[in-house]
Amino acid sequence: MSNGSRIRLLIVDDHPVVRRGLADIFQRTDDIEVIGLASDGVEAVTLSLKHSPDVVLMDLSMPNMDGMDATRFLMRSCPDTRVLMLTSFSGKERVKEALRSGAVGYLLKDAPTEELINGVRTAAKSGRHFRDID
Amino acid sequence: MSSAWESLKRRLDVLPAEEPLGRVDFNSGLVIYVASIWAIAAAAALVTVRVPADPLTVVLGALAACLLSAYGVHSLTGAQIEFSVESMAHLGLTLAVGPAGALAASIGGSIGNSRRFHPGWFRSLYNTADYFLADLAAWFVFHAVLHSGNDWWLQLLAGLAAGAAQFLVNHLPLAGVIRLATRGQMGFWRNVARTIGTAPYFVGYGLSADGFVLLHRTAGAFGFMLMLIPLILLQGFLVFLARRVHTFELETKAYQEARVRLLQRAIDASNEERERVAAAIHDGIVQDLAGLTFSLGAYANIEADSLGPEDRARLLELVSEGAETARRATRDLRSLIIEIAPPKLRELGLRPALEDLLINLGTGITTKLDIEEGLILGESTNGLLYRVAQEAVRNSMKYSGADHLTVEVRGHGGDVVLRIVDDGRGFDPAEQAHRLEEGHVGLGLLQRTVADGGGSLRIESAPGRGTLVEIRAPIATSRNGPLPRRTARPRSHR
Repeated sequence: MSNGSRIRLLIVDDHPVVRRGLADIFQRTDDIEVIGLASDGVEAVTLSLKHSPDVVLMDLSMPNMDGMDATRFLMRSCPDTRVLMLTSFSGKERVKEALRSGAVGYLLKDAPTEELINGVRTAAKSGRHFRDID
Repeated sequence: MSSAWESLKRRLDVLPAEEPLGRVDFNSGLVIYVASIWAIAAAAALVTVRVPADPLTVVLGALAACLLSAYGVHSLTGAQIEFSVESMAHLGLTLAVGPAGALAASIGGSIGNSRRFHPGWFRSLYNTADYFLADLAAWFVFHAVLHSGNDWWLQLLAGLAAGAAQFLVNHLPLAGVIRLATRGQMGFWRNVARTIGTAPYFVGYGLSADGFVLLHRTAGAFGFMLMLIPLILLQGFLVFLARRVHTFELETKAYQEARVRLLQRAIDASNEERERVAAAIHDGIVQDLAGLTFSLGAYANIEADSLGPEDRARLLELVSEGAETARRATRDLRSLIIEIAPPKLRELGLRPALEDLLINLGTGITTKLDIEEGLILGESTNGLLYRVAQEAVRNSMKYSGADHLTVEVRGHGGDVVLRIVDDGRGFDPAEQAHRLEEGHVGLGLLQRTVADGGGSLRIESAPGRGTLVEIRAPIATSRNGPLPRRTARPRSHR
């Protein structure tokens, strides 16, 4: 990712209210640009191939293709894109599996606004094997 | 005739399977021990056995020993009884006709015994020798006592002493052989102690032997057979009793297994229900609130001056979106609460609870509720009807794709009948029964719920022809006694 320019973010969640809420947060930041909203894994992959986002904020459970499968796909097709998982639960197994699929880290859906923003910033700066989001 | 015999044989074989004998540990000690007993028995037979004066009785006695041994009752469902009518026939034959009888009875008994336990030639030979020596000892004791006189009480005493001798000589060498065959795992004294518990049986052996001797002396082979009758009856009674106990045990076991299965199903159903509620909360309310929190968080703690016109427009939009989201979350929670425990049912009764159930179905389906006026139902009947209606309505919404659904409640004599009718795609009841056998619950659980509440459930459906679920339950629970029904003109709801 290029330093100095804005972070290009793709938001992926099957729930419209969540998508809209996340868009509200990141549209109000100066250094992050929301380049698209996707409602499932298939759409996330399509939009990523088209726009090559810096960071994808990816919901874990979605219809059609879930976050884990979409992440695995992105790891191969968009090597410069960092995936940040978004989940309602902090269940260890799920999180571990999410990280194994190639995500650089995860955020909980009840995280405060600042944490979400900082999480995306950290993910954008991180290498492929960055794990520690906090 | 032969079919009657087959049927009798089948009945006898219903007895609990006898425990198979353990493996013999052939060691030199055991072989020497058993060989000595064979040798002693063979020598004793050579010395004592003469051609019998009454071959008919010998043959009959051997046959009786064989059959009584083959169809003996070893235990009453785990409780060892080790009461052998065979021993009575043995002793009777021995005392009536002498050592030739003892040999015949021992061989006959061993043959019968092999049919039950399949002990193999080594054990069979040992058993024959052991039994022969025991009978022979009894014969000696009997005549030793009778030698001192011919009084009736001496006669009685001789029989009892013979019974005791047979019992002791039969069991003591056996305790030794078991100790050797199990390499001391079954100790000698442990076996003796186990045997002492059954020692009083020798009184029965002795008395019946006296009977055999007396009857044989007065009426020969016929007298001997006469004495066999009560023994066969006794054995038959024991077999009958053992079968009853065994059947009872099987039934108890089956009942307990059924209970465990039912409990497991109830737990599964309850888990399924919890998972369903959890998924509904996660996929709906949690997502709604998370999204709303994100949006609100984006505009929290900011200065009014810093808002551009776009921000202001979005804020106004957010307020109405937020209101809608919060409203939806409230509605979802409310319907979940109603599903978990309908509060109106307890407080207000069946009608408001059912109204609530139908209103919460959403807009995809037209519903109608028709409850007979003036129907007063017991609390548990209310609960039962509601639970079944809830499950049936839920099934209908999930699978039927119906456009219309009607819930109808009517009094019918002392019963109340609730019908849920939809015009959906229906199902094949035969297939449903098949699914139920495979362990799918759903309607099967309904059936049991209703049966537990003292009612009955009828489900009618065919592919493409909708589904009818009908419950019939007592108007009041028996605990409260029947409640008088207010007479009022039935008026349809809505």
